[in-house]
Amino acid sequence: MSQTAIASGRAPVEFSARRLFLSQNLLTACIVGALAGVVAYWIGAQLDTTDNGDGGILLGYIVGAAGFMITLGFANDLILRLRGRPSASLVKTAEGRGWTEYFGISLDHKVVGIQFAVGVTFMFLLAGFQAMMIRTDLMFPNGGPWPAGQYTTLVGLHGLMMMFVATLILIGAFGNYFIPLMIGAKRMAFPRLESFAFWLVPLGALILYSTIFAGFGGGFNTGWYLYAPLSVEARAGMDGAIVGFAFIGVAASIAGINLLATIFVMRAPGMTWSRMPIFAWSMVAVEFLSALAPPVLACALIMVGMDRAVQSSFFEASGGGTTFLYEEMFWFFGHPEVYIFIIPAFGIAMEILPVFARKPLFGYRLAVAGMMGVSLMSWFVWNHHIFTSGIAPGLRPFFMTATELISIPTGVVFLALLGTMWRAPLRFKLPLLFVLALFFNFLIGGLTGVFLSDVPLDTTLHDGFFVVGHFHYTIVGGEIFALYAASYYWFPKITGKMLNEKIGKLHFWTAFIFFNTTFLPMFAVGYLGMLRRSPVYAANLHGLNLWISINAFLFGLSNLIWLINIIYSWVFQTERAPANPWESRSLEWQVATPIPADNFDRIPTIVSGPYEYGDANARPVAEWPDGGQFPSPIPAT
Amino acid sequence: MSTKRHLIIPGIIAAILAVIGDLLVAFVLHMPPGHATTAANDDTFTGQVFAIISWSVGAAVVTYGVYFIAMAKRAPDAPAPSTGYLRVHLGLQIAWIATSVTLVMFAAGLGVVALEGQTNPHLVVPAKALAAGAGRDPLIIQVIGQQWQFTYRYPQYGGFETNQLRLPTGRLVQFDVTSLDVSHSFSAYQLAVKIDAISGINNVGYVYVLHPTVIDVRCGELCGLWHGYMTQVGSQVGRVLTPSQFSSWLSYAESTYGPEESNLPKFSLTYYPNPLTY
Repeated sequence: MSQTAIASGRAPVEFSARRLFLSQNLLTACIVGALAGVVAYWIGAQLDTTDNGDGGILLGYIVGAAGFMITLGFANDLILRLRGRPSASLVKTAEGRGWTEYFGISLDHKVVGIQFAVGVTFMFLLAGFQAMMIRTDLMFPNGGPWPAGQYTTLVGLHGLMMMFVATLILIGAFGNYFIPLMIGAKRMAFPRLESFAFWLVPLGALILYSTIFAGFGGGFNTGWYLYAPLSVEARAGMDGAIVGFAFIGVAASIAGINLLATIFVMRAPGMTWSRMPIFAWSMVAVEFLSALAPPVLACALIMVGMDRAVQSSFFEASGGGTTFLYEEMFWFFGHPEVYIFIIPAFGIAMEILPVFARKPLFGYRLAVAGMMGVSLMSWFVWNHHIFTSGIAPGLRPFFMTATELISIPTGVVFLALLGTMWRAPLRFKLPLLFVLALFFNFLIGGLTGVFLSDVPLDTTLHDGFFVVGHFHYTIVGGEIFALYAASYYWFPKITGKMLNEKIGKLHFWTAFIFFNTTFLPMFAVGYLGMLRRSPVYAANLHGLNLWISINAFLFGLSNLIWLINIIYSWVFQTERAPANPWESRSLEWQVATPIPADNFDRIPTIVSGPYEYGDANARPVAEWPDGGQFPSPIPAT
Repeated sequence: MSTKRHLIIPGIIAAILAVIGDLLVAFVLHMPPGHATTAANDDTFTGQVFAIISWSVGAAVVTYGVYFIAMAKRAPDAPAPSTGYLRVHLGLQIAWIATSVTLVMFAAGLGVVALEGQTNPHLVVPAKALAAGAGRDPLIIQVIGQQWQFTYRYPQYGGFETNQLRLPTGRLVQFDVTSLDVSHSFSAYQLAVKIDAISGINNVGYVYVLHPTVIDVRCGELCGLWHGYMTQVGSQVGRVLTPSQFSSWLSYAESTYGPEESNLPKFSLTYYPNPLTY
């Protein structure tokens, strides 16, 4: 029924998951999930073959999560189909369910996009708060206010939570929200999976944070990478870290498959590969990684769980296992993972740049090839994380060269930037400012990566603060600045209101300055021998660390300015934004705000590329089936 | 003409900035970790070369970017000239890629040469240390990581075990690194050595010390509760000695720690905790 409805262009009247049994909402899901978890823990603890009860805890988390998901309604459709009853509709009515829709299963990609944006931003602020705690501890050279175990747990929670955030914020929020709009589709390919991927995220975050209550002292002491055999021997908090991390991996994988399918099969007529927005291309490049890399991680985590709960010995040397197995599996996931962070950021930057440069994107095809090249090559560099672990010496020159080669496709993105800026009448609006800052930060992040790829130099810099500086420059300076840029750029489309320009300027300058003053000195302290994950460091680095901590607090405050701007502009501002405030040609700006429930009344035919700015003879982007143009042509500059 | 001018002016500014920065890096800035070992020499030199490349590339990209921004700021409403709407420029793209390939291959070549000099895939004496005067009989020091300290065994001198690291100048040193429990990383900053200590594995690394120095040893791999405190810092713990000082330390150490040897497990490349013996 839904397929006919989509084809005919009429909005169907029926919405979403039917209720199957008891009242299915977030509250009942939480109650059933918690009860199921407790019962499963009790049973698992009885059956456990070890003394430490890990089997019970793991079973409790997994069964509890399943109970939550089933009660929320993810099995309804399956059960209805098995019983031969009509399935739920895929497209919602214009009315929807109001605000309650955001607290349950929604098959509307726009709702899921906002769920991701709000949920993951909340997680970002939480993990950012932990960064402040870490920096407070590091204000003292011999260990700060938090005891050693607490500090290690803080580092692990901050790292893991930020991994969750960085994996999902751009793909989950902007990918889900804008990809169907950009390619002219009414929905995602697999709306139920899309919602399922979202609900794994708060579940994963909750389970991760539950670890601080688990066992004596709580927490886990392995950092974000959960290296075996330490993670096999760690206390009970480790179980939650394993399950939470695995859930996020599954969510990323599902989101990847979903976006790939959507882009491959649901593009509007005329949306050829060479007319596709560069952000959609970045999603193609990244989703191959996002779909294929996390399953390897999930396997490694399951093996850690088995080592802990049923005394298998994948990673224990005394039982014939080896930690190399874990390190290889983890980084085989871990390196594509960092490109899962940055490729969407490139996509957003190159999507925003031409709009404010009022020029076509320079070297579009080469930029696409660059992103696909990064995506492909990221599978061949993972051993550079374990140069000092004792890998076969013959492998090192290969992985060193491969790592350095990946800077070639990355450099192409900078060529696109400079070429597009070349003699362009730039409009210095907030999204453009953040994009320019992104390129500055990522330039430093990328160049310092070359230092780390060099095996001899890596022996000095590995596991130190140089590495911390490097990946914060790429992930925060690159990806989080893309998040800022995207939030200022697309906020009017999502909410119908502009983000405040004055507060935004304050946010921009504080974020850009304090980000750099925080992380630039980290290269120096790292070069001078300060190691990561340690609350103790040499006394001569005290001054630099104090400087870093103070600037980190200021950078933290700049994020609060961003948050205040969002809340103020969304809730308290009454003025409506213009329909297309940036005069963008991209398809998502051509639909009405608020966006109709099924995006397009009729599917448009795409007749031209999205970046034909400044070309007086450029054709409009799309045409209606009945001959109207979509939109009316936009002025040249 | 004007198109060329807008490419040449920022090019000149970038070149000046690059030269000033590169001279500072080459002659004023003292790059860590210093010159105590051949490996440290390599790291210092490589770091300097990479800093020069990075500064030059960074200066060029930032200068062009800032120049284009300044041009747009000067005449914000001026429509871009027709050359500005360039979508693609084959020559420029090829030149850009060729430049990055050249830089990358140079960096990779530099790394491979340094790597071949430092380590060796077949456990033969590395060429660079040989050239510096090392013999073919390395001093073997076994580094044993355990929660939460490193201990050192000297198997060629009776196999005594101590938590003091001493090594001589002018002799090739072979570190055999292993762990009794979880993964650690033997990180000796001044030696430019970082070798992971992994249970069941014997990781080998070489160092040829040129000058006496204090050695700060820290654990580089998160190894549990007291990881941060697994440091051995200060001259009482780790030191490089002259050969004569080293031999007198050896006789002192053998007489002090030697009697305990019978209580130690027999020397082996790896150890497993055996609960039955405790």
